[in-house]
Amino acid sequence: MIDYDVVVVGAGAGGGVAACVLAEAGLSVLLIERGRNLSNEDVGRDHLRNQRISLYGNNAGPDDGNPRTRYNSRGELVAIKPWEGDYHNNASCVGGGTRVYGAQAWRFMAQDFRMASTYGIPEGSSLADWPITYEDLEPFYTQAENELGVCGNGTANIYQSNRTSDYPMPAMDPTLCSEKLRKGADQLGWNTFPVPLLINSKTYQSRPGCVKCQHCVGFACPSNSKNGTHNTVIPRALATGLCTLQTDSMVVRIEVDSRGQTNGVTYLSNMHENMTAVRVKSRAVVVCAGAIETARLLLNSSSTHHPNGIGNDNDFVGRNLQGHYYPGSMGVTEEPVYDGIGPGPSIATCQFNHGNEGVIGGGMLANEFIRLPIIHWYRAMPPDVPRWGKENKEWMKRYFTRTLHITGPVQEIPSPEGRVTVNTSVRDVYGLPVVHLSGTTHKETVRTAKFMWERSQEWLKACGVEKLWGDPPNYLGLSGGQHQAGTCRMGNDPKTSVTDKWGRVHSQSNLYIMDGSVHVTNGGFNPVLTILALSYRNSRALVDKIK
Amino acid sequence: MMLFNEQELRTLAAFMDTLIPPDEYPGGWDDAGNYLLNQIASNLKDEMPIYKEAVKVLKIVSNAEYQMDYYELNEQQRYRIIKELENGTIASPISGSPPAWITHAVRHTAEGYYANPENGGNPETLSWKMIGFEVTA
Ligand SMILES: Cc1cc2nc3c(=O)[nH]c(=O)nc-3n(C[C@H](O)[C@H](O)[C@H](O)COP(=O)(O)OP(=O)(O)OC[C@H]3O[C@@H](n4cnc5c(N)ncnc54)[C@H](O)[C@@H]3O)c2cc1C
Repeated sequence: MIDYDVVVVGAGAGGGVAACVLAEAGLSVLLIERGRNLSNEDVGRDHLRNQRISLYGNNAGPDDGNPRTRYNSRGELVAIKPWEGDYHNNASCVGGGTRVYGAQAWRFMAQDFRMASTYGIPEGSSLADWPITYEDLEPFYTQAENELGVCGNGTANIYQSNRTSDYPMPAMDPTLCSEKLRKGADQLGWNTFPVPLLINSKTYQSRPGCVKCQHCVGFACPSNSKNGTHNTVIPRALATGLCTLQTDSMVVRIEVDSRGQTNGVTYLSNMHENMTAVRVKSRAVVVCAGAIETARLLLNSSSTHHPNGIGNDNDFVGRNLQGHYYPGSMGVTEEPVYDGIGPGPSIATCQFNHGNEGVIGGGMLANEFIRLPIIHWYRAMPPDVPRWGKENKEWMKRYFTRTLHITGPVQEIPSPEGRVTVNTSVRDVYGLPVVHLSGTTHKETVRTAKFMWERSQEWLKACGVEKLWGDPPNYLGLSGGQHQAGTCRMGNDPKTSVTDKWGRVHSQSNLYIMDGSVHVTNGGFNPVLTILALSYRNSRALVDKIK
Repeated sequence: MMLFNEQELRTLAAFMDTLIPPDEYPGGWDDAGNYLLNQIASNLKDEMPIYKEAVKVLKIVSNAEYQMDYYELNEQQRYRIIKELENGTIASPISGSPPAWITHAVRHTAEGYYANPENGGNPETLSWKMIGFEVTA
């Protein structure tokens, strides 16, 4: 007896799409999310506790009681709270990261799927090609752009790989800041274009156009114009009557039958005072818990058939953790460049994603989201301005509206040592071994980051800034955070990957992964559109298989 | 529960006004003092000892240098003491590290000053008006 055709673990980007595709195809789906279904009021506008700056807490989960561990520089094991930087948090709620994200909607480029063939494999790295190409994913990028809703200019980026159609909505208007930056880029001969966004630039699917507020990234949208899975595909899934959304519930184990094949999950429901364990049987399980938690769930699902965790026969689950190195520069101008028009990112270049002499890959560069005043104070002041006193206040007064910030995600070169394991000596509120984070990406990442930092300096210089600052990248850190990916990479060879090219775990006939975990490499772009597109592609294939 | 006595509060106020001096816009104490006291009573309980250390050091040093309490000093004198405690020109008269508590106080004062009013500081979003940050929706 089965309870549902499919259990989907995690109602974030990948999980939301999977639930929708499966339910609309007529399959019964249980979508289990450990976080809450947050209202806009729950998310709030606390400038000290949000997913952008989380000094004393966050606004989209997870809550206290869910620590991770790592070793500090003195070799001591430390427990990290969800709002501390070393946690590498994304979010935990219905919608996952998409509930509060910045909504930049980037497609990867064709070369991003063929990094090893394009550049060779640096020693010690796990750089590899994807088992699929850009062309394989292109129809699903289009589908994601149409079904969630993306605004942009489909012809302005001369470096993008082939698109079969334009964005469903026109780009947002230029801002004071993008106009200034465009003039600088023009002088350098760089191609620029508006940042594509998962935001309605006009009424779309019955929800209004963006009101251009100042609390976009890290917060909920006041006009419901920002498109996450919580307000698009998840409501569609629920509207079929075939999908049940179970919130406040932590999947603690992927369960297997006597042959070691997946046959459901056990979750702990947190909705009542006493946590209750619920065993659900299903024909297939799709794990979409985000790259760090997906690896943890697989590792915590050990059994006699899978002593090292399910899918982990070759010690690959949790390896190749990557995110994005974010080098950047800031500068100030004589005239104001701030017009208060959100969300902020309004001009980008892909001039340096590939084809850069002497480095592997590269990345996109764009201007930044609107900075909250306290974020400006913490992160956007030149190092030679005193941190206190009259000069500090005068700087805030004059330059909050005159600061330019160019930054962008650098494609990281993965290393098997950048890693998620589980720490059985530390438990969360559910009694489960927590995530232990260790290692870094490969050192080639820093060279590419340095190259991109130089480009950010060049761009601001061309804009005639009065003062220019920003540290050159010089360290190699653990990567993950909001752009976490890679921990269950897809591939053709079970020895060097966790899933096949459809997201199916190699040793299992019916266990799938459809989130950032399966990315082989993470592009020089924010990753969510690729996660959404892959989930469209692979959940469609799952329907074809089990229907 | 009183976290600080009258004298300590006056010292703390003068300290915060040195970190963010009043001009046509409020200083650190008027704009962020309430935030800091709320925080020390809740999220920043563990930081109580460093603020106690701060007011104690400021009292001893200002009496040694100017034979007055810190809150009785003029703006330049207050500035000089913090600057020299920060760069080590004036050594701490008691054990502890002035650069550490100065760094913390600088951050907390800015948080109260520039964060949203619901956190207890920045009344009527005065600091936002000062820098040009307007919430339109
Ligand atoms: C402030 C912010 C800004 C961002 N801006 C951008 C942007 O502009 N562009 C972009 O491309 N990306 C952006 N991102 C990143 C983007 O949100 C992520 O790439 C994306 O959400 C990852 O999708 P996912 O499906 O891998 O996981 P998630 O969206 O993280 O979803 C995973 C879900 O699974 C749940 N879960 C985990 N473990 C369990 C369990 N055991 N049982 C039940 N549920 C579980 C989690 O609570 C979570 O809700 C941003 C993120 C944040 C937080």
